[in-house]
Amino acid sequence: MRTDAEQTEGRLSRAGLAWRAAVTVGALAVLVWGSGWGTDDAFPAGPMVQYAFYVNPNGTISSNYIEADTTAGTRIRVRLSSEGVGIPRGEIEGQLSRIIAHPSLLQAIADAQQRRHPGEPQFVRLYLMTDVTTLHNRIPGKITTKTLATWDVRR
Amino acid sequence: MTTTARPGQAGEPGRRRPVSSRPSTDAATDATTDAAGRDSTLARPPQPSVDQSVRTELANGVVEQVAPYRRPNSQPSAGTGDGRGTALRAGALALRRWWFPAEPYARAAVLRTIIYLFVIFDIRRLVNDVVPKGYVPAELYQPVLVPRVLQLPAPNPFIVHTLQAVIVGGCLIAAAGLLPRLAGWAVALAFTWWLFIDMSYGKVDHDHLALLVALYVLPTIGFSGTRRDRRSPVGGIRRRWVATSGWRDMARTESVGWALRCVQVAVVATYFFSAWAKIRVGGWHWPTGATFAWAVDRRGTALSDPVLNYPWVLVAGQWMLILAEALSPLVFVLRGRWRAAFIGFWLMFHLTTYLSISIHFLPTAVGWLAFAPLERVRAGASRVYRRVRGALTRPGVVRDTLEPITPQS
Repeated sequence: MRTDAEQTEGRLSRAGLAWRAAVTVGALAVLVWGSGWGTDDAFPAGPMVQYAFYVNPNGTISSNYIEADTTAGTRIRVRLSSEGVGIPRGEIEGQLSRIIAHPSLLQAIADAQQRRHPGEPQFVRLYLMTDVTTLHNRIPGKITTKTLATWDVRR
Repeated sequence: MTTTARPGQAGEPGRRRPVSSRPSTDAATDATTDAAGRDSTLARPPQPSVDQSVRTELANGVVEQVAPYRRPNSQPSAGTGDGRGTALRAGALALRRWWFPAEPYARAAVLRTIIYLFVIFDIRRLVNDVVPKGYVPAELYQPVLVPRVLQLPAPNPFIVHTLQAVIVGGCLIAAAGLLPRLAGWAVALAFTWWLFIDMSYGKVDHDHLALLVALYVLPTIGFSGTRRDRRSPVGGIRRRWVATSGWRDMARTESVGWALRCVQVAVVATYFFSAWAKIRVGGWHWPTGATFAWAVDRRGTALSDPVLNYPWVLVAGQWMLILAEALSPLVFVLRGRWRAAFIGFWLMFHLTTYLSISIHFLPTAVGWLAFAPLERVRAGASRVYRRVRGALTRPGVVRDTLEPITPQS
């Protein structure tokens, strides 16, 4: 092992210092801009908005999911995960208004099931559902279930 | 994993450590200033007492190296009367010293190994729905800004499997300390694309900033100086490998210090900007809302569901979180046990969110290792190894066995 006395000169050259300083300043500027004015679209520089929204203590909590009538004649809850259809719940929720406006997008869920799990029962009809929990002084109370969109799967 | 971190010992720029190990920096002033150059003693003429303290710390023969550096720093204030210029200069120097502390190569080399192994774990276990997305119809693909501007194609099976192969292969090579630049840049670019794909389906995660920064700064440290160490015997492949990896390279360089500092700043920025986002999006009344109740109601586990009936606990948690996030830059000021406790708080926080709402933020948590004196891990491990081996090979142990003892057999 090297001893202290043998250690090498560790200072950066002027050029090495300059580009690192420029990169540092640039990256910090982009991060500050992203946090102050950017949106998630600016990933990875966007604002750190996880759980940053305000929830009214007497408001509602929506929890969305997809159900499916299958070729086996059952109605199941679609597994919105990497093991299931490959699309997590958060991503369906991120495109919720788009899917409600264009229910045909749900066809992608059925196609994904077909491609990823050909041996399992396939989807015949898809239901985009939501459970709405009403908060009362921050304590969850009544739950109402609504259907936001339905889609008859094309084969 | 992170329990090995002893953050207070992390060799901060101003910590009093043997100055001999960093002969190239302004050792005399170093010994008098604290981290982040908070003290502007840079511009102050050295005091005799300071001189004394430096001398007592120095190893034999290093005083000569220190002396030449003391003079230039103490000169500008003498007699010029230009106070503002001096302050500016001192500020610039302090800034430089803070962003470019000389740190041992081994610390970054060990961090590099951990980070690249973590990336493999990440794409297999955490951000693991990119390969499935190669098989999902492209209608749901909504690329975020950068891939949109670069016109990256929508993921397909070929793209996602190629990215996976590049990331796994590159990570294994870079983790071994080989081809740090080539493998490092390949992983950085492929992993960035990997994340772009994952974030382009309507939901963006915010836990990868520190890891991403680490992947972009680690290749910049390049090869270790011990790579060309020819003292190891020819054919000693393992020794050659260790020399190449730099795991034992204690030479301090500013390029290593900058890389580590960038990761540290990225970790802290993740928390600090989270507080900012809460104010920006949720408003100043965010801590008084029911956001935690919302999270537990939707994602709660058996451990956290009962807490929904005690909303004051969740409100207290909201206050604690936003305050801790806003104060997170304090970690750069804290020292020793206080710093360790502060980092420990965040690791406990991540464990709590994992147990209560299955959100772990591991890619950020692993970034805290950039504060740890990782170069000591190897020494500690080999000490333990020697002790264990010593205990096992002691004659007493042999006697305990049923085998007859036949010396020289």
